[in-house]
Amino acid sequence: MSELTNIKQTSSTFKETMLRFAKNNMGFVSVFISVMAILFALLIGALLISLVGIDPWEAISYLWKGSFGNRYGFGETLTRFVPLLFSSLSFTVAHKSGFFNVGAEGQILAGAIGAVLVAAYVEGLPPVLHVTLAILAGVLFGAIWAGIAGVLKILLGSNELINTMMLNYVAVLLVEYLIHGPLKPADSYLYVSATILPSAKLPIILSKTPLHLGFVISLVVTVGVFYLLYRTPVGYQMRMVGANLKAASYAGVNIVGVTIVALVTTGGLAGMGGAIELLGTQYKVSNGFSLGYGYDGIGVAVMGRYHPVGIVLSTLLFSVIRVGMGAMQRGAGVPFPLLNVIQGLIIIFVIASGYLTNKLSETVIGGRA
Amino acid sequence: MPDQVYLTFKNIRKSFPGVIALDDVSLDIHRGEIHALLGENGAGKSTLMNVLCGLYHQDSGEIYFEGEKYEHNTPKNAIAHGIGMIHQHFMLIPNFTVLENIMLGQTSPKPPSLEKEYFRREILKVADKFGITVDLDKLVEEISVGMMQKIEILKALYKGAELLILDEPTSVLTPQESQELFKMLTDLNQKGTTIIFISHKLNEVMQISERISVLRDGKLVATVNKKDTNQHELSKLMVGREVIGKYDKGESKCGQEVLRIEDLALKDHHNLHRNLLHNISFRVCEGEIVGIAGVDENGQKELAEIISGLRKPTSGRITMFDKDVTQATTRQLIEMGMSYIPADRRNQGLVMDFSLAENTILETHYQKPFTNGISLQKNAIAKFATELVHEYDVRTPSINVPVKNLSGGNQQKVIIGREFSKKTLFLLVMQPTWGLDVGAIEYVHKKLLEARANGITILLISTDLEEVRKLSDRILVMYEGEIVGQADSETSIEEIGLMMAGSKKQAVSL
Repeated sequence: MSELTNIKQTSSTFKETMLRFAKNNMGFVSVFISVMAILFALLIGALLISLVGIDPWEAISYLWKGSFGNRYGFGETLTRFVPLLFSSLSFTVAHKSGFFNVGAEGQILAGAIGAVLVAAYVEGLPPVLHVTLAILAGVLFGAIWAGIAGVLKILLGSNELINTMMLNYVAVLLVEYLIHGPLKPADSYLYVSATILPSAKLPIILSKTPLHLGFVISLVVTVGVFYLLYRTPVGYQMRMVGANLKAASYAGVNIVGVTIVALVTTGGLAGMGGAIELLGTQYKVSNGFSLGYGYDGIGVAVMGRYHPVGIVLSTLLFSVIRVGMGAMQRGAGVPFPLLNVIQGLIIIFVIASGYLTNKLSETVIGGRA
Repeated sequence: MPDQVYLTFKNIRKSFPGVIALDDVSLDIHRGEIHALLGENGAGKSTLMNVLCGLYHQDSGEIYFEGEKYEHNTPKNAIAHGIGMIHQHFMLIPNFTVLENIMLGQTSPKPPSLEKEYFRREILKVADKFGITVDLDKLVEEISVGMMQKIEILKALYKGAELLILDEPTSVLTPQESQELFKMLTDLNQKGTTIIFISHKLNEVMQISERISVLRDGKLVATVNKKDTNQHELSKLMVGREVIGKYDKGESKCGQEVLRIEDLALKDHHNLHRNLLHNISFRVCEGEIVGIAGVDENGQKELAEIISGLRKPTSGRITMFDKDVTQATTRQLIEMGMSYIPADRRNQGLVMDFSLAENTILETHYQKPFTNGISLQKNAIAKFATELVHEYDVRTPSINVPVKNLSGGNQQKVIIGREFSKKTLFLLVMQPTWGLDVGAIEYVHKKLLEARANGITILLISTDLEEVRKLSDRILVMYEGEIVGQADSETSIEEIGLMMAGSKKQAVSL
């Protein structure tokens, strides 16, 4: 009996020590929890892999080898990173402004269409200007695509979740139409758009890899987005509208105006992602242009907890998974469906660990009498 | 029988990071008594009860039920021990019927198709036993607040509660409803239910309880018998010093007309035959406090929304500083010098997830010095917030904590500080002291009177009649969307009460 109480007491002091540690090192602890979550997910993944008769250690090692283990893989990973980052930034801006934009996929395609019009058909521009104009066209088209959902919401009060999602299908079919007709070069047998002109291509920044200047642009834009959200009056208003609509109107904020700005920003970011993917990686629009970046961006933003560093890290993780899993498939012969399961496990674990972190920070920091 | 110890708290301690919520509290509750827990907000009353109900766990100390140690305090176990807590905010589902609300989460021995009838019989049995009349088939959203409270109590009794805990039960009730509640509690008590009554209102505590325990800053200051004490002594125990009963506010220097409202009407857009506001005309002039008294939900909220530009009237005219502002936007009004302290500080007056500093610039963030036109000026905002915290005595660990972590009183201080720090000529105030403790109420009142002395015009809308009488130079009474009477601080409570209940009307014009 006395032994039992003893154990109970030690465990309670241990708990207190841990809580005190967590309170003082919340940043470290939250990263640690996320890393543990990924490791646990991989552990379960390894079990599943061994069940199909493949050496799990070898398979998992390809995850690293494929993504960071060699120069090409490294460049490939960071190239995948770019559109995904734009997509998650787009979702973050929407989330902070209080609406649910699941339309990044369509806005990326719209951006690519806008960009290809400038990049493939406007001739005789110097490279810097050509690239800039093409990106701006992408931003504009993305913003218009999101704007359609915005106008419907503001004028008719219709749900933006449904509108943005439906517009994704419209965008996919629009691309189909364009690459079968207006944008298809006459001499081409393939159903793809015209290739962009050399003056519109983004330069490669790491030789013998696909890594292009868009990587740098994406990081600069990330800083810009968070500057906008947290350091400017407009961003303040966007967050106010997102956090508490009643308080925002009480404070005299022009809700409609702010919502429009937010929509244009969210669509513009996705459109920019589409434009840069076009100018840096794919050079032409095809029907498999986006590979689901728009949807993955949602998961990335949630996983990154809408925090700039968190988003960059989780985008990186997603890119590693995407590229590394290709290597697992090729190198170790892990079947593709199983890879999807492992990717899903990682996402579930990381998001669940976010709740754990929340709960913990509530316990050690929040709480009131 | 009443002196038999039912429940004992022994040396209960509970701390939250940075705060000791309960500091060595020991307390006996006797079987069959009505025991009041009196204290200001944040004194630890609710925390103590939440420990008992298993919502929190004490850091140390023990609870005994009839001499037996009570361990594993979980919500489930609390119910099993016959504890029923009625929270300040009702835990009812508006679009369920009363019956459905009570049966929610209960198991019955009957198959699902017969469940409702079974529960109806069982619930009515309990209701009859305790003399509670209810209509089980009404939707909760259709019944009055007083009725909802009855339902909450019935729900607890149905679950077999022998000890009822009521957390600030009258804060949402009219004086009449409060009296009805007290009658019901006395009845229940006579039928054997032990009651713990949490409140910071002295008159209520004196009216209903037999014994009173006073908490201050997490410590139990005293437990006294009602017959051995009086309101004056209790208030001293509760606050730790003397409290002012009446303000000496001096004559109003009524000057120019500031606000003029003519024939204002608002129709319910769900039902155009229903008037939310009807035939409202009055004016407020410089340097006076006009109070609007009335029972909650008689159009006060709509009136405040219209005056602050959040809603447009169906007809009528509003003039502020000789300008027609009927169609003005909230921002235009703010720039003209209107400030509004809303009733709902949590959902309207503040953005709970924003930091304290961010909340101090809700209306002014686009102006200098908080922005240079491009970016927000962090230092200027921090300086402003720090000054505000200092000047308005906001108790907070830092200006960067989310404002949701502050207590209600401190949240209200942030709003008042913010509204008073900008250029304010006309102040619209609604329920400024709702849910605040005595110290904070006094503080808010003092600030309002200071503003009046500085020539600021104030329209005070409050359901707290005492407050309206204490502060106002003139009183208007609202009932069912109309102004039904005019009074001043000399008019008796009974007379104003009759107007509030709609049984005495007089024509009021400009």
